[in-house]
Amino acid sequence: MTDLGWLFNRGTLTFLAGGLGVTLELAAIAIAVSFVAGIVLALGRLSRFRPLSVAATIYIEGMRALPVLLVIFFSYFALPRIIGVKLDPFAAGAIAMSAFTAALVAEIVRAGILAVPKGLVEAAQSQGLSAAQILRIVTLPIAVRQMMPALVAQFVTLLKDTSLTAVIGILELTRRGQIVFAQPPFQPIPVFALIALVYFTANFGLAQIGRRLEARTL
Amino acid sequence: MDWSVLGENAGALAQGLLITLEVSALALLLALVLGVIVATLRVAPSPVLRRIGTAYVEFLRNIPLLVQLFFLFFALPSIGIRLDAFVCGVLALGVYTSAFVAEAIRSGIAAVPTGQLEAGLSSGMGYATAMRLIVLPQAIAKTIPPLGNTTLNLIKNSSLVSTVSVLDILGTANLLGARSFQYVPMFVGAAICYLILTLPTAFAVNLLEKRYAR
Repeated sequence: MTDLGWLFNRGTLTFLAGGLGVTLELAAIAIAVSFVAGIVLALGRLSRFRPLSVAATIYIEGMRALPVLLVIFFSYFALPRIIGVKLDPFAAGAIAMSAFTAALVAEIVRAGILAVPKGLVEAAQSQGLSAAQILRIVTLPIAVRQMMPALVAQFVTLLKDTSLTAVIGILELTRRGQIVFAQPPFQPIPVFALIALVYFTANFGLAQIGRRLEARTL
Repeated sequence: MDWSVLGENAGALAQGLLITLEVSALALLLALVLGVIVATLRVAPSPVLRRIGTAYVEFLRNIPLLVQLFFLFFALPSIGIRLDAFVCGVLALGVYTSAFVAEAIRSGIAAVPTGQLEAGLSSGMGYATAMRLIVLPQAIAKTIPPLGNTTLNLIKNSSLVSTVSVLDILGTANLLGARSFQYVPMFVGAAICYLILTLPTAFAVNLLEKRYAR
């Protein structure tokens, strides 16, 4: 066997761990933003105010019909020309991942809200609660619990998709892996094995948490 | 912004659309063949076979497609296997998607109550006949909506081949955007091309979903 000291040394491993940090940071930002934006979009789509529901529907269906890589490229190369502000790769990546995932989260939230039994909402109405109170106290808590498994699955997809931001030069795990194997001794296979293992562990762990939540809600 | 580049390059984008279709169709074919095989492993009576099937699905599903594609394109040449970028794209996409196809088929078979098979057997049918006439038709009906979604994701994921220099829709838009500095029109053009492919597919998936619901 060849000596893997070039890969398993402090400098290289710290460099790759930093990449994992960037991957997780990007995913965490996108999860937080898309969760809030997804709820807003879902409520918009369910709204009785027609222009709002049409706008939300177009955004959701449009995003869902596009490849996330296109959204990432658009955010990095095209968006700065539209808004007139230069974006660094991380900002462009975070915007793209959040904007894209928000559309998918919105559909999960909408399904969750629609699954809340009508009788509960009517009971709350008959108790004199306002629409905002019903949403906050009755509908959303029940909906969120129901949609947890689907949300976690979506976040596994998101974590995998952050690898795509490597192509606009974000120094996340995949990009740093590329940098490592582009240097002597030019051996990509051990590098790929290592980063694949890291992704697998992170995603499989996340999926297990999702499965546990699923078991609890049923 | 100069939108005329879009008209000038419509032909190139159409060419890219054909490449996207070609990559997607070949990868889907590969994914279906592998997916059926792996789904069979997943429901096999032997625990060893089942475990192999599970390992295959979990391994592929939890590693980013881009990492798998880069492995074929950048790592295999280091052990003397040099594949064309297009071939790498089809292989990576097909193998990755096969894990999702296998899961769709497995859950379809699992969703048919065992009583259905037992009822067939007790009315004198053999195992193969009961499977063919009773279980599989119901399983296929339950498999069609998730398979439709998988196909939709496959078409969108095919855009990753642009990262290894295949000139599909996104690759073409990226190249021409960089050449003309007109990124906005070129990406809008690319988006339209993808919508041409994905919206009818999504519509068909919705129809099938409604038809096969319950």
